[in-house]
Amino acid sequence: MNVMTAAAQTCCRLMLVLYVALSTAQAFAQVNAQSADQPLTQSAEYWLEKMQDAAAKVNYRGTFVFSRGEMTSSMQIVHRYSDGLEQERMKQLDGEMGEIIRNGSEVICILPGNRIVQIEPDQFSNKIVQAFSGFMPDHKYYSLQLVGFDRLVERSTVKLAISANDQNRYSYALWLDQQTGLLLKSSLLDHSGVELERFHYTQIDFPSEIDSDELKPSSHGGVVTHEMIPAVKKDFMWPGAMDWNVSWVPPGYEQVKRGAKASNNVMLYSDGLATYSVFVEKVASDMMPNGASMVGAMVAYSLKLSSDEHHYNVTVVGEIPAMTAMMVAESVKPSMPDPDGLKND
Amino acid sequence: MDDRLKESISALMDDEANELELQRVLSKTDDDEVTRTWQRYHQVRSVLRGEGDIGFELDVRQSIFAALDKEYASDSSVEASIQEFGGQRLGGQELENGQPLAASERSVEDSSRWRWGGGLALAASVVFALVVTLQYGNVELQNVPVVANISNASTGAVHLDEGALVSVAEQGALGVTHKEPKIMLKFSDAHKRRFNEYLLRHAEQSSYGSSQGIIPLARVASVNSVGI
Repeated sequence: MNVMTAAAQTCCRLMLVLYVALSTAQAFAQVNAQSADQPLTQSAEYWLEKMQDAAAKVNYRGTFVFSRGEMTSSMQIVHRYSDGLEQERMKQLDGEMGEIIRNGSEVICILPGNRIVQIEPDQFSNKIVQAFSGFMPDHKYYSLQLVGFDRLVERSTVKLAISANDQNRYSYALWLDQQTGLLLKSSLLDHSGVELERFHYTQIDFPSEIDSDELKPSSHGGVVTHEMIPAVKKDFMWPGAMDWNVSWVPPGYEQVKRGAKASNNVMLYSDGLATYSVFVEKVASDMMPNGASMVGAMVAYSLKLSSDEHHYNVTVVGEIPAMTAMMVAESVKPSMPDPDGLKND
Repeated sequence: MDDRLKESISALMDDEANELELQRVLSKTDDDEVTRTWQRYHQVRSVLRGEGDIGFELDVRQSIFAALDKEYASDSSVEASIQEFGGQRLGGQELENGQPLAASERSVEDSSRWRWGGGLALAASVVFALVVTLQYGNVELQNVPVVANISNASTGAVHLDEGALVSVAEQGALGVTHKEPKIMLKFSDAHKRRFNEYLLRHAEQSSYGSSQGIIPLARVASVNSVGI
């Protein structure tokens, strides 16, 4: 071995170190330049707000997997935001083909056999329009933490850990796209840490424009049947002035208000992450049995209640624990604004 | 045993077998698996119909005769097959963990018949789950909550969500002390359809403008787009 070779080696090594150092610095500079308006030092709240905004206002197209337990289902999604209107088309990739088309607040399901199914529009209620703005998870009820960065579907993401502080809600791990804020992966956990459902993209891109054709349902020809799922009905036997009072709202949840015409037998609540609906309707023969029916994180708690001579059915539906749904359902009471009317209790 | 045969057994059970299906079943009556399947379907059906006690004895011959009386009363060759079938012993009951966990799928469109073949295609439309009721000491029966859980919709396997059961019991929200889980009901077609309708209603009003974007609708699609 001679001196020259050793020196050359050292020199090479130095150059390598220098090169690595330089490129690292360059990479940092790039990152900083990229995120000048959205530094990675932002709080979890900043990211949650960005996520909410992105959910509506970003154009995207991709495939994702939704799973719960051993059930897995792949779907394709196209989402467009244009002229203030959100539109999307979700297509099942596994099993028989099914599609869900959303146009603003209107949802249509296209099921195998050319069945088009939708919820009957409720003529007495206004649709919720951007009603969730301002609904943010509160520190009191969730511990919000930015826990790191990750790379998913070729995107840089920021990872948030959101853990419930009580048993009226579930905990989440969320991965958001750093650039757009879109939720790319989520995991929902119950209070004992069991994962109830998982959602993650396997591929995504963010086109600046999406053609209207991509949002149309696929057509296979043949006879199409239209089916309406009835809106939840009041009982015409109930006095006209009768209102519904949900006397227990779990801490941290607030009612998502609707327009003045709002039908008072359908209510929606949110704590900024979890939501649940309360449906009060006339008792029919094909009601769900009293109690909780659960699939993954979703619960529908149904209860037949009577107050004075009024009978009604309450159903609480949402991604909330069954106990919480039960307590909400049990707290629903009719209320009469007229003091001379029927007394409650 | 192929799916066609299973479907024929099912049809026979529902008094809907045609001659071909009847012959198909009768030609296999020496097969233990066939008799076990027959019995299992009966268990499943009795759970579905809320007929209570699962540990009943089956009288296969009676059902076969009933089917025959209806359509082929004068066919002597079939009579012979019945005698042969009647001599078969039934397999043991197949209970898993002491519960009649018969996993199966049922076509929603065709409610009178069980579809076994295209099961994979209907993966997301699994129809029934065990339902557990909690018996509360002082609470009127009509207010006894039912806990139903489809835990594994892709295979149709069903299990009891002990966690949910315990949490309801422990917290004693109804202010009662004694409770005992009891298998009582199923997710009937109507129950399942109602459940899915509520999910869709909830998703429709909670997806617009909510922070979780497409997840509410993904839930609906994953639970069962076929069953609505």
